[in-house]
Amino acid sequence: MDILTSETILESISDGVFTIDNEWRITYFNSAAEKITGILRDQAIGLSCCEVFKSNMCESHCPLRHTFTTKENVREQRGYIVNLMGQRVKVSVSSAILYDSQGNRIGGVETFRDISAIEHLRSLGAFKREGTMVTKSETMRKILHIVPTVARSASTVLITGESGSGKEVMARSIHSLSEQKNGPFIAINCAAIPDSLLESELFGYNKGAFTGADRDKPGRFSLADKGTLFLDEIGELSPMMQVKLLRVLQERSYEPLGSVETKKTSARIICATNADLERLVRLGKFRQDLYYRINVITLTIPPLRERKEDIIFLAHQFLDRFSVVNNKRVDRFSNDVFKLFLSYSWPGNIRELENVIERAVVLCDSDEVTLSDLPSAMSRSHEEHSVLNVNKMKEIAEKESIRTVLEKHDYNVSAAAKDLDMHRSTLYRKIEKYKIEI
Amino acid sequence: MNLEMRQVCRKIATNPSYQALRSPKYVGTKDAVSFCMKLAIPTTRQRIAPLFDSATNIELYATEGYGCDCVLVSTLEFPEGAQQNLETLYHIPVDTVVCGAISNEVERLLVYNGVEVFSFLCGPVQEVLKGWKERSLHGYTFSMPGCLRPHHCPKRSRDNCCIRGERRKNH
Repeated sequence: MDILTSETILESISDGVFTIDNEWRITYFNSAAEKITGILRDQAIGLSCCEVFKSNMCESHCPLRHTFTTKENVREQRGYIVNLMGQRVKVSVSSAILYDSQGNRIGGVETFRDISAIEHLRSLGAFKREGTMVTKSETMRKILHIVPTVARSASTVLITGESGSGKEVMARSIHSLSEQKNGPFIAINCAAIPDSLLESELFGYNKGAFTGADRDKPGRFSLADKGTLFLDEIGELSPMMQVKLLRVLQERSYEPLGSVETKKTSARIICATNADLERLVRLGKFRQDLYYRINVITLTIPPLRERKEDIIFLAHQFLDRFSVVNNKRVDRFSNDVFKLFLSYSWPGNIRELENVIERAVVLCDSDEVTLSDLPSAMSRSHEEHSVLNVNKMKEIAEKESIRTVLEKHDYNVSAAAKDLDMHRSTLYRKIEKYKIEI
Repeated sequence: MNLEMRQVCRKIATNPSYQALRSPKYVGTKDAVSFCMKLAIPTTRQRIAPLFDSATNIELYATEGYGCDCVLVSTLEFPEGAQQNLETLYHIPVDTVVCGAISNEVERLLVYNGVEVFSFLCGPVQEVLKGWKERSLHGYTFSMPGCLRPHHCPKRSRDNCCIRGERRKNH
């Protein structure tokens, strides 16, 4: 094959190809490489390959360096490059050595393929199927680090965190890593079902147990057998249900409504709540023995505002996902949007972020999400927050310190008032003013 | 501040070259460490590392500002890449990063945390430090391949970057 034919072939393929000499200078750069990197051939030739390619592999895991050292070709090593727009482009790279007719090494060739679309589809699948938790935050990474260990044990897990912070996703992650992963994952929101129905939902009933029970119905414990039962909003359980749940957790057995037969369950129990269970125990609203029974391993998910790295990361994930779902080409956020995202308090956490971005993608009529695509309440809340006057700040600080001191004194108002150096009636007035629950 | 960072700060404060840079009124005071600007440059083989996100070696320089001398005070090693260690840079705290390519998400985090970023620069570190002293980092000389005009401005780096002659939109 002559040189002209080889070059025509290299120019017609969709994989990027470049060659380098022994000094790591680029000697050939095909048109697909131009397209993927955003750099023209004339600008690339003669320059150091790593300054053109700008990949995360260049410094420590360079495929060509590996090939030169070991004389082994590298095939489909995965990584990413950063293009001139600052965007990460996921690539799969292969490399080989180039020899002249005498068998002397004259350089190397690297071929690379843009696999962003494939990786994106894969991540979408993973996100939905397994509920994999993704994070860039150091705090979250520490929590996720222990999840596999927790998953392997059979202990009851309590997941705490604000609403929308990903408690169910975490529970699904634990399930997918556990020995019961081939069993079912059954989730039930204890706050969403009236107490009278919750018992039959959890334990099931037998035919004739009550009017209308014309057939046997398995409960969630039965459905989750050899799998995982996720009890969300456990703090909302009534005292009666708490007793029944305690028995199941202790004995691993229960009786369906209308049955005299005791059933065994091997379901792994994961509980979640956004309430402060310790406080509920102190207030007598949650049974202490049940609390100790479920509080074997506690995983606390920090709110989104405390892991700012995740805001940007997740925002991009959701942007990609909703762009695909809505068949749009929205691929970035304006600087103002990012500033707002990073300074906003995200009371609804990840769920709120997801919804905000879904709305933005639907409303966005260009390739960039701007402030006008975001809910006006969000910008308004941010503005209100950013123009707090001194009095407002004092009130916030005062409320916080009263709450802390009350907690310290187990909600004994007299002791707290003494500690705060104020009269008891003044403290009562402030508790009422700030709507602090005691 | 963790132990490692305390050691870095102590190293900065006790470096004789760094001491020389500082105004006498600060010597021995608690402001000794925080007085000078800290400049971080990811490097590999005496050149600016091609990508900040995965840079494993970051040289920390003390300087009194853009257009002034820089003194090497420490070298930080991040085997997992700089992106995983941004907190360390904030803790020092690093005031300016001069680097090669950088992804938008990492750059935004740096800028959000008050770090100025001179990005998409390339060349030997000594030349770049010379460029810093001569205030010529905004010129063509240090632009990475493909950047058609000077655009490396602190706090708004790359906003005016051109690709194939087209002016980029702010984002």
